[in-house]
Amino acid sequence: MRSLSDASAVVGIGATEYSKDSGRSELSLAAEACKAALDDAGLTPSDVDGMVTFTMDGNDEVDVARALGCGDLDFYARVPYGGGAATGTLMQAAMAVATGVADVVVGYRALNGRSGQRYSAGVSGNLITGSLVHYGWYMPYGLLTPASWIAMVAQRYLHLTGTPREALFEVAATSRDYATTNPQAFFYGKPLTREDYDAGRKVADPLTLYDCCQESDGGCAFVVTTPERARDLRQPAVTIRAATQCSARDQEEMTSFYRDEIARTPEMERAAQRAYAQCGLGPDDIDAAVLYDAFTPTVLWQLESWGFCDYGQAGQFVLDGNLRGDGRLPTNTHGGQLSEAYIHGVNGILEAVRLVRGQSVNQPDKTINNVIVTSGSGVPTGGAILGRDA
Amino acid sequence: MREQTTATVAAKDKPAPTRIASVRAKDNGWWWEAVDAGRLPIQRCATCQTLRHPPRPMCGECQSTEWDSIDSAMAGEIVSFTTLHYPQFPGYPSPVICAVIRLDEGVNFVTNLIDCEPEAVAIGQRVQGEIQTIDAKNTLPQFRILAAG
Repeated sequence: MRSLSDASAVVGIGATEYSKDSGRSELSLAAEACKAALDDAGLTPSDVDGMVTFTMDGNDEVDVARALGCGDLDFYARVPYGGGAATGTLMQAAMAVATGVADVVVGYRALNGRSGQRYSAGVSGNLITGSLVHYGWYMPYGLLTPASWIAMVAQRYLHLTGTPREALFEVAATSRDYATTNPQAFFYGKPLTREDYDAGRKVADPLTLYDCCQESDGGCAFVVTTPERARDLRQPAVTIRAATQCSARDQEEMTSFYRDEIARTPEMERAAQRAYAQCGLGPDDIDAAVLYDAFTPTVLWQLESWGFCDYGQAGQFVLDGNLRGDGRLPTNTHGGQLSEAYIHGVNGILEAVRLVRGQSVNQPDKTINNVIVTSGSGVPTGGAILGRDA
Repeated sequence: MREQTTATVAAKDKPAPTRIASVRAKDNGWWWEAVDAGRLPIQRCATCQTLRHPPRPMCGECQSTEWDSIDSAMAGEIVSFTTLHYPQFPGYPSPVICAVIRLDEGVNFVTNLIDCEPEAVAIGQRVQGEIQTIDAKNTLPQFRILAAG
């Protein structure tokens, strides 16, 4: 049977500095991140023949290619739905390489997410994406921001499952503790106390300030090529064991409020099931995870979707310390988007690669064979499993 | 000094900020016009009678493009809710309570809860809606919690 599994590998990763005011163009961030990823791999811009990014990215492929000095491009693709695109970019790159459409694909995402357009500013006036008709069902009532849309699902999830607020704090505190030792992280050296967390201003009940990720400026990029070529390059190859995208029935972008049960994310459940099926692995084979953490509750939902615990049990799972370095599933060891930076999940792809290589600043003290990395929750989403080259 | 005066005059003449209204396009314009007329319609497939909201051009059950609508009695139950505190947007009350309501007709509907304290809201409460003129650009269904019992 034909499969995407192990048919491509991530061979390079690169990032700019993360900041609240980059002082430069998004194109500058994209070009620098791509160059850093190529350097990491030991490749040059002339090796690149494919590019993939988010529909929300402001940098045209041709502009990035020209800035870098690439030659001919035989493949370019964009993935929609905001942060739901994150690991979709990996899937597009993997498919292009596995089919021979392209040989070396660069994935990138660069944004001035704090000094430029802020997503917390809402969809008013300047729509982020999607149709005006769709957001017209929500804007007149005040549901304008990602926090407001996720809060509606989170409120019901907490109600149905009895998950305590302590569990949300534990997600925030775990990511913050990882960030304290990551010099790239905004919250480097700054732990989060329960007092700080409780003092965080109300945003959208039940979400308060530290349940929400940051807004950041920065760029991230990765390079994907064939497993054969990967073995001759500078870094240990990280194979793409699985990569999926999924939109589930009655899906809307951020507002899937019309299903029989709205406190579920069936798109992530399916993305996970299909990822496991692609490579023949299961939750027991996963050693660490990078779960898209735009908001703390979404980490809980993903632990359930990926089979680490049953529905409603993720709160206890995290309270048992399982996301910590010595826990069952070290998660968001870079600090996540809550505490490192918000580069739309692509900084998470970079951390997943580091975990497989053994290069995380918070590398767990165990062998890491397989790592999950995911896209955003509440939108059409996806996930990938990265692993050590056999 | 002169600049200050101009700014004051401009502020006086500036119309009060409104909420952001929906655009009205081919698939949703009829729905907003019905709301303007004081009704909350629910689109219904003319072939298999399945209700659907928000409106869309084809029935997901039988793929028919023929449809009509029924008027909701605007009674229902709270599926979920969120009180929005930050950021505050011009034209909107603060805090503002938003909710997903399961209308008794069987479809979910996003709206505001009004005339209640955020602390008084709970999932499962019965609600009743009415059409209200909110501002110069918005006429919207708004819901109130019904007393228990």
